[in-house]
Amino acid sequence: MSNLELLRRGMVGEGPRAGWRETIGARIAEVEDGRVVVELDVHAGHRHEGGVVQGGIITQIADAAMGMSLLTRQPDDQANVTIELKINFLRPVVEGRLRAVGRVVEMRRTLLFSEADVLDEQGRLVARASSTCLAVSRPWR
Amino acid sequence: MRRQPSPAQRWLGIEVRSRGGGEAVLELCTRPEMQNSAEMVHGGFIALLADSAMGTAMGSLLPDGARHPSFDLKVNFIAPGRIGERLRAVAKVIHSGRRTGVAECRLVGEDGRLVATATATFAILPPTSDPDEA
Repeated sequence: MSNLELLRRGMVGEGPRAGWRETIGARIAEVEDGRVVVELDVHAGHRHEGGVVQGGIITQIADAAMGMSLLTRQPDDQANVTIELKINFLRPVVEGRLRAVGRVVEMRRTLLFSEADVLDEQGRLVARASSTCLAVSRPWR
Repeated sequence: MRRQPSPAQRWLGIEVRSRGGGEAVLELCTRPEMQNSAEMVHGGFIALLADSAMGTAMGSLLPDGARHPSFDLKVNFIAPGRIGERLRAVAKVIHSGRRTGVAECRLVGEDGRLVATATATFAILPPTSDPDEA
């Protein structure tokens, strides 16, 4: 199965199981060459004691969107793992639909660079992330 | 408004090409003294150019005299900078709040290849306050 097809199957709930997505309720909303969108409908289970979405949840969908955007440009026998990630949280989120838009910055042989914007339902920038991933041979078929 | 370059910018030969509306373009002509042991431009100069460009972009949105020290800088070194080439940093503010700001930057070589990307976070301080209060 090609990487792109793999992600598109993930989009409709087929393909290999992604337990983390089920846990937080995230889904792959859009897949195209070099760009993947991960969505999350915020609920109380995502909030910390302060009443806003916990930063790790936002980081999780940003990381996933970035890694998947890189995957769309990799050969089909390869995947990637995140080795470094940085995020700025720009505004708090209480409710609504979050969209993490991951995109490819640059692909080298072993190191892959990507960025993500996380937007709230009004399209406001909630967080901005960048990451470096390591290309690895795909552990599944 | 055109600001005076800082002593550090003057010493390194950093030139401000444009500044305004939360954006800035700065250039640095790399010299042999900037070479590291791997015979490419030392990453510190790339970080400095990026920080400088993002600071310039941030300052273009603030009133005269306001200070905006960066308190976080992240750089991805993507391709080596070559000694003797002119590096161009294109910076843009992506968030400008009351107390903090965030900017991003792309650095390219003379042939347009992506050399580095960076982001920085700034404290926004009124003209007279103590920077330690940030």
